[in-house]
Order: sequence, then C-alpha cells, then structure tokens
Amino acid sequence: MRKTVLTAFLLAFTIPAGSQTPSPAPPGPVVQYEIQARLVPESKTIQGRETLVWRNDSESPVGELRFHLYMNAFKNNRSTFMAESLGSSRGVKADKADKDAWGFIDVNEIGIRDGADLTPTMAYVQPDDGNADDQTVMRVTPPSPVKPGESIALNIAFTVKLPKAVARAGFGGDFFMAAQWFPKIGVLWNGAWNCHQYHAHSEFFADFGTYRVEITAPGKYVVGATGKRIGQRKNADGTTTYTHAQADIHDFAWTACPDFVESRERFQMTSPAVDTEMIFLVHKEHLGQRGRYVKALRQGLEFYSRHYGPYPYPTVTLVDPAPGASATGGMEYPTLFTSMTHRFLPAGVLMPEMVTIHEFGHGYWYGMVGSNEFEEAWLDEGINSYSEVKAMAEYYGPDRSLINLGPVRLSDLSYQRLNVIGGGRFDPILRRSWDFVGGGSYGLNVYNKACLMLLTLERYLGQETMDRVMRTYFETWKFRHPTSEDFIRTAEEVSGKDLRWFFDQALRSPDKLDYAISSVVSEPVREAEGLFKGKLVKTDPKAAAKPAAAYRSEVVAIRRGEWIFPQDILVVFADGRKVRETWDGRERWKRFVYTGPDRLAYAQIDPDGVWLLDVNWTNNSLRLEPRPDGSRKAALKIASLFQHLLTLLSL
Amino acid sequence: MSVLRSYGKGLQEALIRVQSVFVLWAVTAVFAAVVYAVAARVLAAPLARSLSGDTIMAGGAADALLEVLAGSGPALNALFGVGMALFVAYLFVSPFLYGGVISEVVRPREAKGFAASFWMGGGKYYGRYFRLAVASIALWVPAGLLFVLAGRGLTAIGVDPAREEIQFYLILGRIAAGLFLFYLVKMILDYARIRIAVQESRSALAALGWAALFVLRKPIKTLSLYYLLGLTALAGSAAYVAVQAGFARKTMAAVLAGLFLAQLHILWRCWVKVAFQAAEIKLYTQTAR
Repeated sequence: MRKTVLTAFLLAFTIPAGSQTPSPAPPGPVVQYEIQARLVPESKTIQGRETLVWRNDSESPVGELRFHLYMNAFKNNRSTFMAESLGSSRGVKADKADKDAWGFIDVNEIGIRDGADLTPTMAYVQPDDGNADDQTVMRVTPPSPVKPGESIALNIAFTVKLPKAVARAGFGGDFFMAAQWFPKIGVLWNGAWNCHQYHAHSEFFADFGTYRVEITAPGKYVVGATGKRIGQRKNADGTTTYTHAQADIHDFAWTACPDFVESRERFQMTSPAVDTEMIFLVHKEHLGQRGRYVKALRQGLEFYSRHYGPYPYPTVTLVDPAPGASATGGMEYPTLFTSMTHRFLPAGVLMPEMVTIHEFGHGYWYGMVGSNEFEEAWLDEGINSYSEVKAMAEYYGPDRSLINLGPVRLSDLSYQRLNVIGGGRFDPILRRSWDFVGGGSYGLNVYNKACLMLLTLERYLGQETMDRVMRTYFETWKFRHPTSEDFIRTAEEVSGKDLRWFFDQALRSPDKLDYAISSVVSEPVREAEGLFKGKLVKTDPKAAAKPAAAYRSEVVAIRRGEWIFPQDILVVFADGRKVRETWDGRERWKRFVYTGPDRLAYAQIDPDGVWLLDVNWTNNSLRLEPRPDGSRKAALKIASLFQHLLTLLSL
Repeated sequence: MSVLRSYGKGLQEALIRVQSVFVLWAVTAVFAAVVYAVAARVLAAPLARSLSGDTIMAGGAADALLEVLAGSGPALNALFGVGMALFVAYLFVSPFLYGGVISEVVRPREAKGFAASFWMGGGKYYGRYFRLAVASIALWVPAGLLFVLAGRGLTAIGVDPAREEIQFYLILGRIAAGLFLFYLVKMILDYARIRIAVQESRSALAALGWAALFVLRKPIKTLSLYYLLGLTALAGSAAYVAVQAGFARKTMAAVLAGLFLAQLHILWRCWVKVAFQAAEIKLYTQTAR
C-alpha cells in the first residue's frame, strides 16, 4: 500500500520520458528519489534531505542496503580514489594545502519512514579493495530483511561539502557543479549488491527510477538541473527554490552560477519524431562560443535520434563550466551534460563540438542504455566514441573532424587510431575499470580501441547491418542494464553471423592485430634447361635475349600479431590485371603463386581497409619496384623544417 | 634619422655582400642535407615499397605520415637524436659565421677578397665570440629571472581564473615579455661582437658590458633599428607562408618547386641576417663613442 501511494504521488510530479515503442519487458522504477537541497555558497556546502523508496527487484530477501557516498572520495588522501590517482584526476591536481579543496558527504541521519532509526547501523564497507580508509560505500541494516517485490522508504539527512573542482564535480569561484552528490543506493544485481567504491578511473552504475528534486540557492544564482523544471518560487530569505522532476533516469546533477547566461531553443524533427527543449547555460566569459554549442547539440540530437532512436526526454541541458573549473567539463548526466571551451578557441579546433556531441551521446549510451560503467566501461565510452566519430565525420568532414586549420587537419578517426597504434598493449578492453594498469591504458582501451573495434565491425558487417545492430541494441536495452554478452548476442542475432571469434579477441585479449605483405617476387619463367629423359636441353641464346613470355610471381602474406582475423588480399599485375584472394589468417604466413604474362606490380592485404584495429597499415602493401617519392617528400619536409629552425634560433 | 640611415645602409650592404648571404644559406643547407639523408633512410624502410607512400604523395600527408611515425618509435628517436646533435653542432659553428659576416661587412668595398675576409674573420674572432657566448650567461640568467618575476607579477594580477579574457592576455603578455627579453639579449650580443671586431677588443666580458651599456644609453635607437629589421624579416616570411599555403605538392616536380620556394625563404632570412649586422655596425659607428 505504502509503495502504491508513494509511487502515485511521485509520478504525479514527474515527467514521462516520452512515447516510443516500449522495449521488451521494461523494468518498473526500482528507485524513487525525492530530495530537497540547499546550496550554501559561503561554506561550499549543500544541506540535503532525501526520501528514497527502493524496491527489492530480486527473488531473495535483502538484509542490508548499500549506498554510494561518492563525495567521500575527496575527503582525504587515503581514499581509494586519491590513492589510485595520486591526488589528481582529469588533469587537475587537488590542492592539499587548501582546506576548501577537500570534499565529503556526511550522512547525519538515516531511518525508515515512520519506523526504525538506522543511523546506528551505518558502516563503511570496501567491497573492491578492502581499503579501510575509504568511505565511498555505506551499509545500513534494516531491522528485518526487505522481501522480494517489497519496497522500503527511507528518510536521509545529509551534508555535502563540495571540493574544489576535481573529477567532474565541485566548485570554482561562484560556479558549483553538484554531481555524485547525494546518498545513492547501489544496484542489486544478480542477487548481490553491485555497489563499487569510487575509483580513479571508474564511472558509475545505478538503477532507473524517478527523481523529484528541490534546489534552493541564493536569488542571484542561475540554476540548471536534470529533468524538466516544474516549479520555481522565491523565498523570504532571498533564495529561490527550483523544482525539477524526471522519470526513467538513473542519476541527478545540478549546477548553479551567477555568471551563467541561460537561453532556450526548441529542437524538433519529424523522422523520427523528436520535440525537446535545448537549455544552454553558458558562462558569460564564453558567450562568443555559444553558437558552436547550439550547432553541435542540434547535430547530436539529429544524429543520435536518426541512427539509434528518438531522443525521448522533454529537455536537454548543456552546461558550460566556468573558466578555472574545467575539471567539471566533459561529463554526462541524464538530460544534462557539461561541455567545455575557451573564449579564444579558434573555430578550426573542434573541441567544443566533439565534447558536446560526445557528452550528449552519453544520454543514449549509459543515460538510457544503462550498462555498468564500473565493470564494462567500453559499453558506454567505446560505443559512444564510435558514435561520436561517425557524427563528427558526417557534420565536419571525414578528414578534418577534429582539427581544421587550413593545411593542418586531423580527423577524429585518425586521432583514435594514432592512440591505439602508439599505445601500450597491457590490458584487454573488457576489464573492471580499476584493474587497468593505469589511466592511460583505461582510456586507450575503453575509448579508442573499443571505438575502432566497433568501426571495424561496421566495415565487416556493412553499414546497413551495423545500423540495425545498433538500433536493435538501443531499442532492446534502453532503460535496462545490458552487459557485453547482451551486445554480442544482439550483434549476432541481427547480423546472422557468428561473431564470437571477433569479440573474444578484440574484447578480451590485449594482443594486437597486424597482418602484412612480407615479400613479393616476380621472375621470368626460364626455358627448359638440363637433362630431360637423358638428353641435354640447352637454351637458345637468341630466345634468352627476348622478353620473357611468362613470369612466376609469388606473394607472401604474414601474421605479425596474435589476433586471427580473415583477410582479403589484392594482387595487381603490371598490365592492370587484378586477382583477389582470401586467407583465413590462421597460420603465421601464406604464400600465393601465379604464372602469367605480366610481372606483378604490388600486393595489398585488407585492400578495403576493413580492419581498423590493424596497428600498422604501412606494411599492408608491398610494391615489386620501390617508388620512393613519398618518403622523399616527407624527408624533404622534415629537413626543410629543420633548416627553418636553424635560421630562427641562431645566425 | 640615424636609425633610418642605418637601416637603409644595412639593406644596401646586404645586397652588395651577397656572398655572405650564400655562405649562411649554404651552411644551413648542409646541415639540413644531413637531416634529409637520415630522414629519407628512416622513412624509406616503411614507405618506399608501400602504397602509403602514394598516399603521402597524393596529399593525405598528415594522417599517413603520423601513422608511419606512430609505428616507428626507434627510428623516430634516432632521427630526433641526429637533429639535436646537428643543432648543437650548429651552435658551435655560429661564432665562426658571425666573425665571417662582420669581417666582410666592415671590409672596404674597393678591397677585394671575399674569401680571405670571410674565412679569416671567422677564424680570427672565433675564440673571442665563443667566449662571448659563454659570458652571455651573465645576461641570460638575469633575463630569465626577470621573466620569471614578470610572470609571477602578471599571475598575481590575474589571480581569478574565471576571468578568462584577462588570463588570455596575460599569457600573451608573458610570451611578449619572454620574446622581448630574448631578443634584447641577442641584440646586446650583436653589439658586443661588433665592439670586439671594430675595436679589436680581446675581452669578451668587457665587450659584453660595453654593449649592455650602449643599449641602455640608446634604447630608442637600438630597439627601433632592431624591430625595423625584424619587421622586414617577418614581411618576407609572411609572403612565403601565403605563397606556399596554396601550393599543392602532389608530384615530385611540385615537391621540388616547393623546396626551391623554401630555399628562397631561407635565403631571404640569411639576407636579413646580414642586413642586421651591417645596419647595427652602421649605427655603432655613427653613435658609439
């Protein structure tokens, strides 16, 4: 009864995610949050009260509840986050001498509504590393277990001290970014709590539900938040309270800054049907860059809606962090994300566009398709980087989608490839985020390599099939928690192909893909010489002087890496004749022999450029005769640059 | 007027002393040729028989070349090492070139014998100019300290990181301050070399002190002349950048034409360098006591 009444009450104030074809067996809301938060800018604190209704969605009774207290990652240098990151994250080092730099969350009270006080049962637990100093996961024990299908309503009072902007959240001057800020219940998944500590290289995981949040801030502040604003009132003490609500989301973030300039624009498209309000909170220092944000967000909405499914929420909010708080930039939350720019950033450096499209895209990959970022980060970062590369190429040009400064150009795809080519090969893509050897390996694998893996898959399956794979995956798993296995199964079912061999290598092995043409030979076929049936046969000197009537040509393809991928080989002869071969790629090498009237010109493995994961494309082809123009051109360029440098710095 | 006269004289002398310009160019070309030989060898291994070489020729140079370089770590290290060694070697050659250019510029026009003047001058002043380069630490260190202090002062002004516009201009200010100090020390060293050559001074340190005082006493003239010549150099470079930007190098003939254009630019830079020395010598002889 309690559950029914509370659900009805909450839903009355929340905004449905819109109408689209429901996914198979959509889960009901497991969590329902109602939060009141008051920002106290002077002390950089948030005073909060939270009512949480949590439903036991499992088939077993649950004797304890686990909560994320993410802000405690910034409490001291003994937290797992600080220990793993050596005090810095996302390029920003914590200023340890400044008391204001630290952040924390205190749960002042927690109890069952109209029932037992659970505060005495509070305890910090460390399920990942046993670090007793880490306080980012809290456990409470109700007096009796929560039975399957039953809900429990909790009242929680808490205080947050925001850190100086670090790792997605915090303050910078008058700018506040409240992210991962409230006590958030973990996910009861496969019969156990999936509630990981806050790690240096991990993101998040949470259940879908409904949120209704009241944010009170001094009147001069411009406030933006997840979801649709359903109320706003001025208070007698000079503050203003904003009420936001949204259903079908798994997180809630908000921001406040007196220097934001707020603007709103409508985005509508007909196929598929999308109608949403774009809200821009751009810092006054960056107003000159606003047009870039607007254009990129329109492109993101259009691209993702067209390729994966219509954007279902009534709002999307872009937050431009204040200068000096860049550590909060480039992060996604449901219906709200932070982008980043600089007042004087040239138009040819497409960083704001890329970040805007990428972070908006996370509204799909993790925002709606709620995979476990702690354990399988590629499912959101890799899939989203794949989507971003495609969107950037479509809107800004395939060869200049990241940098377009006259003759200096770089594509987003090349950027991803260069990272993979030059990066170490220590980890597979699929690994728990904190198990990677370091932040570089985490980024290289879950962003760059996973992106290339999907682009490779697209070239292997074909554009149309891959589009269907992605649409099906989105439709099937939106507002649910898919795993890597679910993605693989979807890809196999839609394509009708066995792709296990592909994912087993690309996802689970740290090795490399590198096929090459190691040698090409083309020699004239000699006239018969020697003893034949006891008779000596000699070559006629006149015939030997004539051009050869036939050539014996040989191509050897080799596998330099451990990954085994089937290969196509193109062999081109001097007369333009082409022969296409296939090789299963299993052995370490394969020889192809031809006899014909013409010499061989060159051989090329993977001539269609399917295997974007191949770490060396230069060795994919081999000419019979060298043609050194390209290397000479590059060497001349390098030498000329050196000569200019000499005259610049000395006589 | 003395600045403009010196400027005009400097340009005129550089046109006349064209052999010096060619020697300066030839020395840079020899150093660059070594870099070319190494780079061509390093790049030929992966590219000469690969279709990637065609991609580079076809103009998709950035991506294809980056692919090659990203996969050629050891070779790239070798190339970088050779480049660094050559650059250091060039710094050792520089005092000789200064000696040659200054000897040639002060040689009376009617007196014949460029070769004797240039090469003997280079040898004659090498030791003193080398000692001068070492003694110049006495200027570089205070200049560096001044730069750091100026930077801290500017940072203190723009302490609010939210004022991005001010932050940006402060960065520009720091760069400008750094460049000003760098070229100020270089200019003082120019006058110290001239002092050594014209006065036949044997003490590098004394010449350095004299030059610093000279610049301090005549800051308007010395700086005006220096920046006038600097603008002349920039004008040529701007023209080069404009021309070569619209120059597609998709055939070997076009690549060689581009190389020729680059060499013309280097020649221009060498010509301006000789003009610098000649103009400063003119200003020195007009105003120094």
